[in-house]
Amino acid sequence: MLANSKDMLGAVFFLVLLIWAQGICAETFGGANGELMLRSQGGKAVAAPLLRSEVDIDVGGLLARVVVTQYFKNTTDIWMNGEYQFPLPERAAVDRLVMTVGERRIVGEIKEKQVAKKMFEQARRAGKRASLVSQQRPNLFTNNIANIGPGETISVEIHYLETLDYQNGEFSLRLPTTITPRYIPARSREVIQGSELNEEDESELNTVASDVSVAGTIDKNTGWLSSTVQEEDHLSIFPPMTNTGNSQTMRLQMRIDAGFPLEYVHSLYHPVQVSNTDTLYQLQFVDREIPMNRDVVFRWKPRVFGGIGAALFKQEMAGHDYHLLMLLPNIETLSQTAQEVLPRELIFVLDTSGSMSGESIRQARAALIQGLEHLKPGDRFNVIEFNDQASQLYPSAVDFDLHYIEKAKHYIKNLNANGGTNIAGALDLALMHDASEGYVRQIVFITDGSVGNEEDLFIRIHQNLRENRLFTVGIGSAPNRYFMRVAAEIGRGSFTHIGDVGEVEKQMSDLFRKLESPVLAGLKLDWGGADVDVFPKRAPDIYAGEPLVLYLRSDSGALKGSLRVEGNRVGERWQKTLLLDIAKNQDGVAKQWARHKIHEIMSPQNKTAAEDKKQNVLTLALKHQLLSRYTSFIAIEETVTRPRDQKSQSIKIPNAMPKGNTMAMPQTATSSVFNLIVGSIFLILGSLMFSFLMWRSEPR
Amino acid sequence: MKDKHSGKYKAKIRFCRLFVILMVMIIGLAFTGKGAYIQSKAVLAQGLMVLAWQRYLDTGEPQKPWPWADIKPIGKLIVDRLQVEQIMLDSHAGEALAFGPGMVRGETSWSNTTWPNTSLSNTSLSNNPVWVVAGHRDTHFRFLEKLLLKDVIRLSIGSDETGAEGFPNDAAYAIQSLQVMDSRIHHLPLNAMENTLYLVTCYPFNEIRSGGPLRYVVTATQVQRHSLPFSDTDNTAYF
Repeated sequence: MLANSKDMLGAVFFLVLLIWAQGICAETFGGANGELMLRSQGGKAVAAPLLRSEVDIDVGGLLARVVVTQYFKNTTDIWMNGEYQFPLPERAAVDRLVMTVGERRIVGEIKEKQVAKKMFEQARRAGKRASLVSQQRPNLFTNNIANIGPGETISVEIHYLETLDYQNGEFSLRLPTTITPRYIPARSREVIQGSELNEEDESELNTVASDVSVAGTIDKNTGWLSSTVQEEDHLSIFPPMTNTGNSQTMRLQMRIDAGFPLEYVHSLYHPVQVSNTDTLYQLQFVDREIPMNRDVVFRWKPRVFGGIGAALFKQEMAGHDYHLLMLLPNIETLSQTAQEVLPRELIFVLDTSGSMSGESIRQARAALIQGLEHLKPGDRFNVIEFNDQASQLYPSAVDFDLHYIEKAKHYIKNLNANGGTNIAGALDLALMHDASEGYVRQIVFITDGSVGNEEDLFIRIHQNLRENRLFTVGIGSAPNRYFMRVAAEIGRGSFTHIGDVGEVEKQMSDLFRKLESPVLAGLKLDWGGADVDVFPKRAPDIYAGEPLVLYLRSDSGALKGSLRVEGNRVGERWQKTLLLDIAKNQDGVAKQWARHKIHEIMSPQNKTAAEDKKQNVLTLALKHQLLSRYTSFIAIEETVTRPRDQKSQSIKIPNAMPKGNTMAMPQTATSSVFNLIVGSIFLILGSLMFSFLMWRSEPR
Repeated sequence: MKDKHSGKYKAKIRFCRLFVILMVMIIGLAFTGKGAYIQSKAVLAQGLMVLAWQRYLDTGEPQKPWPWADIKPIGKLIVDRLQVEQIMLDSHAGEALAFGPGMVRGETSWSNTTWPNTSLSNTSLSNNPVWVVAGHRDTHFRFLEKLLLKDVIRLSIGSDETGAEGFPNDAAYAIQSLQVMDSRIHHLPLNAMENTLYLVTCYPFNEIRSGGPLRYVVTATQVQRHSLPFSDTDNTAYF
């Protein structure tokens, strides 16, 4: 009896304590399910709208038609405006926007950027649901969504067209999922920090939903490169980043109608299920949903004897014929005399900035060491590394020598990644010298390209290139492909991407095959005097395994008969004739032509005045319904849904941190509180027992 | 029945009861003692650390706070608004955090990289764009709970003279976000567009038991640099 009451007393006491402790624990603001929680100034927690993406890809001919659907779910009980920055392939031609709320589908319109922004702001303030999609960089876009009601889901479809990549007999398609944080040189950053907040935004921006100070506050970063860019770039390119492995996911449906059987089709980083009937292949992720922290890459190889020789597609539209031509010079099959290799001077440039830390620098080091192993007697080489500053291993290029190579390898193995990304300094250092007499000078530039001042760098490359050739090697889960592709284009080299340590060897040998086999240069096109608007304007040099891809526009019926392409390779003439009647009809060719014309207008090689550039792009983009630097897509709901008396909160939706760029968090609590509490319980229990004992023995 | 009333038996029962009570008290004292020991160690160690830090500033040589210590002070963490001033350690391994907030070194998952660089000789705010400092929520980093957005955290890594290559080694960081993260899912980003300081502690603050998966992460970005060590082309930029 006595023992029981004692036990009970203890148990009750313990229970009370437990409940008290539980109460404290429950006084948290969630986050337990891995959802990113952000705390506002007042300590109130706000969850950024959840994001889920669905991607639908249709591949036909040389084009892929992609529909990306972004679902924004507001899990809170307040009205929200979301801003989401997302990447698309650098050559995507975005041509359609559809916003869906419940059962209603609202098709977006293409408008001049400023007009669209105004319309969006009005809709947002009026309480209408709206979506505004605009371009910040050719591969970086923003989706602004206004007035997502409590508990509501709004979906936004973004449609785009892309030309497939074809290299070394293999097609490939890339789907970017997230953004590697960009590095902005201090000069630009100062201007940005000095810029003012947009007035109406200020009132609603009281929640800082961003990890990055500037990201939350910039509206106008006119400062971008005030010397070269006159147009206001109204959006920031600093996305907030999150480390959510699971909360942002993507689903996918892909169909490839190649017209011929495939040797293989696979996804580089995410397992896929493939099923096919005849030549129609269907793909989806084995895991159904994948985290959006790494680009998705598909590769497939057609089973065609001797590889593809040429492909020609055509679209007729409004009095014009548009052609898309892909031609394989197959320069490997040229005569043996032309196979002779000029001695090369190879300059390896390695990015060792902070954004390369972790997995990326490992890939880069491996790639660079592979590169050194490809050197042959007679070659010359040097190694440049850069972060805040660029420095080179040898004062000038040295001859092939095992001692020098071993020294270089040792140097590379000890390179670590931290600091800024001063690409300009590295470019200057690499382009400072001309090739030694009788050498071809090739620069292999290994970086993740996480820069924000692309335009400035393009101009630098264009101005200083001379006889050098620039080959960019992209590293990491989500590199800035736009920068690297255009840099290689201007640098008259090629672009290689390495997304995984396992790919280093294959990709570097492919690159070295290009570096070793002389190019097909001085390409000329002859179409019998017809007036043809062709892009790219200047035919690029063609390296081994690469096709020549051209976009043509001519007056209806003007282009007929045959097309002759000629060029030369180490003094030897090369030519090929193609019959134009074989052209297959395909939708989207006209849009692709327009997209490439826009690209050409915007490139630093085009010397048109900025105002004219803008006008030309605007006309083209509006005519072909394309998203561009000066045009945006906007969808606005007719009716007002947000009640007048309720405010909406603006929040930035973070991007997933690219895979391989993060670290785990340490364990950070001791058992001191637990010990103190358990100890006190025992002490109290002991004294209670003691006094009970005293009290019991008192009456005697 | 008889036996039950005998004095001998009573005394025995009484002794047993007293013995049980004594045991309970001892267990209680052991637990409270251990808890108090952790707490007092945290306070005491900081005291010794301050002395070691001062010796480091005076001599320029890394100093151990006590002869058998396997940790060294590496810098000072200051929050003026909350009157917090703590000496940071060069390690966050198990025991170290009992003595003060520790700088987080690279973990096994990326053993090839040596980030962040923690050898004292070249620890400077310039060559480490990202600082991750971890502390126990129930001792040194208890104050994280009181931090607000825009609060300024100062980091001091020695005097200007002792900084590697004359880098200025004081920096101020303004808090950009206060987040709760699940360490099973979330990881800290190492990429930084700007100099970033992360303070990490366990969450929730009042949780009694240790070892939970949640972390409270304070993200702050640098707001000022006293001076730049060198300047050449206008495109050269520094973190």
